[in-house]
Amino acid sequence: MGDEVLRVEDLAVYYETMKGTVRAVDGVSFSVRRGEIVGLAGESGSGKTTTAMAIIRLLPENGRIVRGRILLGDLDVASLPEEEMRRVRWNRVSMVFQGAMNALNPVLRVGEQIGEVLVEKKGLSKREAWERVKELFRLVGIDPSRAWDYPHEFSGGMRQRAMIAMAIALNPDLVIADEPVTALDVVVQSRILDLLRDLRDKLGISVLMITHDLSVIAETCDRTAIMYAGKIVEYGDTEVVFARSLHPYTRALIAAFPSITGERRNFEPIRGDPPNMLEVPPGCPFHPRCPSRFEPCDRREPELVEAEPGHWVACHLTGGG
Amino acid sequence: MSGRGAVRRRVLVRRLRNFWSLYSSSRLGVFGLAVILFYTALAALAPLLAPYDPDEFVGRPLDSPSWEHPLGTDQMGRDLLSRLIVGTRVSLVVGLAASAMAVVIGSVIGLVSGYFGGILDTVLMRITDIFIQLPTLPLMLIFVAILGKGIFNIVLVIAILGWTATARMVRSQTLSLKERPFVEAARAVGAGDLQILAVHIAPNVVPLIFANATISVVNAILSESFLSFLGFGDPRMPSWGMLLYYARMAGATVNGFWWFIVPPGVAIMMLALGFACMNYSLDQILNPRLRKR
Amino acid sequence: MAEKLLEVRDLRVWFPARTGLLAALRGVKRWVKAVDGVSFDVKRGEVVCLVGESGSGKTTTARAVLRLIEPTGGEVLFDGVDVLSLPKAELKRWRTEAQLIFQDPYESIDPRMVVYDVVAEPLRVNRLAEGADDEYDRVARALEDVRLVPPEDFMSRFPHELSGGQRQRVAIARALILRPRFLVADEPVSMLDASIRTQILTLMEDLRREYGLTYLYITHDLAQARYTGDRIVVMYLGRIMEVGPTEEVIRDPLHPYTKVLLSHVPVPDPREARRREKIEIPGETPNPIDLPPGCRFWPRCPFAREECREREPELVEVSPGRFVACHLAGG
Repeated sequence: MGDEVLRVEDLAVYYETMKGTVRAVDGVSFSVRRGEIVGLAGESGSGKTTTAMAIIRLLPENGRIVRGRILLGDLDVASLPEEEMRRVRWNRVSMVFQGAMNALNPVLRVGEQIGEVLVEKKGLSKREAWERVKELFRLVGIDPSRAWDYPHEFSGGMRQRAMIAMAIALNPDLVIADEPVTALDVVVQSRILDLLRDLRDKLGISVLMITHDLSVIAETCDRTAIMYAGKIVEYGDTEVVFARSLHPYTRALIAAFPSITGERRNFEPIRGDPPNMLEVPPGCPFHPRCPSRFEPCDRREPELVEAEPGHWVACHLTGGG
Repeated sequence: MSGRGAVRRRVLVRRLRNFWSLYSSSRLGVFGLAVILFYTALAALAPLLAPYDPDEFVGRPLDSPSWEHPLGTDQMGRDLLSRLIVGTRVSLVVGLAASAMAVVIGSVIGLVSGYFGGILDTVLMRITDIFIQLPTLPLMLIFVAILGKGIFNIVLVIAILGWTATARMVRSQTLSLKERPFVEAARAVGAGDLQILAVHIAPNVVPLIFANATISVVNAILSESFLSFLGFGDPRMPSWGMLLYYARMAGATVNGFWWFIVPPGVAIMMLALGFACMNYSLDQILNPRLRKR
Repeated sequence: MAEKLLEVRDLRVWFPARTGLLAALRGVKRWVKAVDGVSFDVKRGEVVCLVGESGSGKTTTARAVLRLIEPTGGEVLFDGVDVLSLPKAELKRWRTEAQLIFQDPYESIDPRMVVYDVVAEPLRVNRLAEGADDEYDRVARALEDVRLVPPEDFMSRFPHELSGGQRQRVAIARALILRPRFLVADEPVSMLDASIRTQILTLMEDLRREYGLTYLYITHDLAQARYTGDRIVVMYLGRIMEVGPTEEVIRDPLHPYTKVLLSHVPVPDPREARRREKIEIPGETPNPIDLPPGCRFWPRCPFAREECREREPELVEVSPGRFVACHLAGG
């Protein structure tokens, strides 16, 4: 077992809205080890993005961490003052955003933007920064001569590569990738995923991958946590979670993803809508939609228990309670 | 009763309730509305509230305030309080009518220009530019001098010189609305240009037009007062501006007849302020760029 | 009754490209050939998937077929009627037979309208309802069709009070209320959560059976196409690369582009994902301006030969029902 670069313990993040308190993340625990890609998967409202934003401490104004610890090594960033957090951000934890076009400044050359981060945060000289930018470009598979291009001269895939270069520029312990390939074309998408895996193998970077797409999880992640209504419902080695899913939601979600391989099976749609986060159902939050619910499900909330070594599940069917 | 009627009524009630719950949370808006309602009541009930006939000579000329004439009298011995109360009618009606007319002209030009584009747009917008460049006040005087002092002419002149801002705003809003997918969706079910304009574009612009209209009322009230003050008002209709005109004639400032000047001045200011407050909070609610989630 | 409901022949949609000042002064006119000679047909009751990446022209094709964009050239025959030459009044009547479902249910519904008015609009525009009661009944039935029950609960709701799946159901109800025979669905589930996707796809399949509908289904996702389409049409840069029965194309792609694409589609199975081999190709899809002569795919094709640069391959039938535009596959 490698050492952990991130350990989240009982994290809870609430939003205050005009209509009431939204418990977007409510008691989430997981970890990322060095050189590991961990997936946080879920549908909209599951709390996956809120979890990511809490880790890098970029929550919207009305959101606050009400409970729990976020340990980057020994440092608990959950309670860190913003001033100190600014030193931690990018240096120890960085982020690749979904819309790469919006994350890059359109009037600055791509290489400059990355160089600036290096000068500012790491105190490199301009020349050193430039050398490092070229090296980073080679690492992420962009011709270093394109460092002088503006973002609009880059294709969608190259922009996302540049974002990754920026995210790893300061050798952070953890890179959070929030839907890094959503809205990219298939071939580009698969190359970006390959790149992340390559960087993991070559540099030993650790990645927390936030996505709604289980195919992306299956292609890249070593371990996976499935989230629903602000909770982790299943968590373990990706292969185990897929092959021996224990939670009915995990099973239904996997079945909802069509595949080009294997037999063509029929969809079994999950009934109902995702929960309204202002009125999360009592008991197990999935019970109104669950095909196998039984007596305790609407009254008692199942706890996340270790069903087999390294494989955790929160479901009364597997004795969570 | 048909099911459709029931749905419509339910929707209307919900729309009004939603609007009111947003509007009533704005203190300035409530204040503005209260002011406007006060003046509207005053205008509606003017003949009942006014102690004297505003056109009759009921006292000594240029009397200072007394129990009999709380705001004194003018140079012809007419009761100033009665004239002030009745004057509310003219100021309010002229303000509303002129701004309604301006807003209708501006909206039609803005909608047509923005939606159809092309040469029509170019021509209409050049005309709008010309009207924006024109010096409003001198032109008003010239128009009234030519057309005559009737109250309808005053409304017309204020409207003709006051529609440009609405046209510009409606046009830019229309330009962005017509590119929205729901417009293509309407076309896909067979809707023609006029149907799209009437069903999708106009209702989406109306809130902004509405917000805009309130500021245009302020403009119209001030314009009317200005014209009347200079003696271009309709002599048969006493408005607040006209009160000020008579005050000037009587040399009220030099002679210290404060009761002659201050009440109509405050009345104009308060009504303008009321509409401005309403405009501010409508803008907060209805303008998508300012709206808070 | 002919077997084919829709026949598209040599469809072309060209847009004038924004050129530099110098080129404009010299009078050089360049075109973005978004759709450039596309031919396919859709049989009655069939679901044909138009698959392609961004820039493939799949969405433009869909819009041109419905004449929401005026094509530059070609023919669109719907039940034998030439849609492209219909005068305005008849085009409006024809639109009741062919409807479009949009990608983004958040954008394709007027935010100020309630569900009732959204669904009733097609009836009003075409003056098809006989009075308020008839209109009401038909709106109620359309909402029941898309399983928004009881319909009264939904009629006076605003779009922002519905979930994404419910909005897309409203959009489908609106398309169905005219009782069309043909539906074009432009990525109707790509903005929805996975669990909602399957609900909508199942609904669309049920409706197809119930009302004998024919679908043209636009998607970028081959895996989704496998689960929705009877046949697949693969497009690249405004041209059709391959046409064939879905399962055959997925299991045994003939065109190099289809092969490449399939090898990169992510699969929701970690073991399978590790086993598969990807076919690497250079670059990303270029702009459809100033296309090279020859096959559009050759600059990126791992199997390109000399003739691929010189001659553009025709779409030919290589085995029954399977069409390929590639010199290597006998094109």
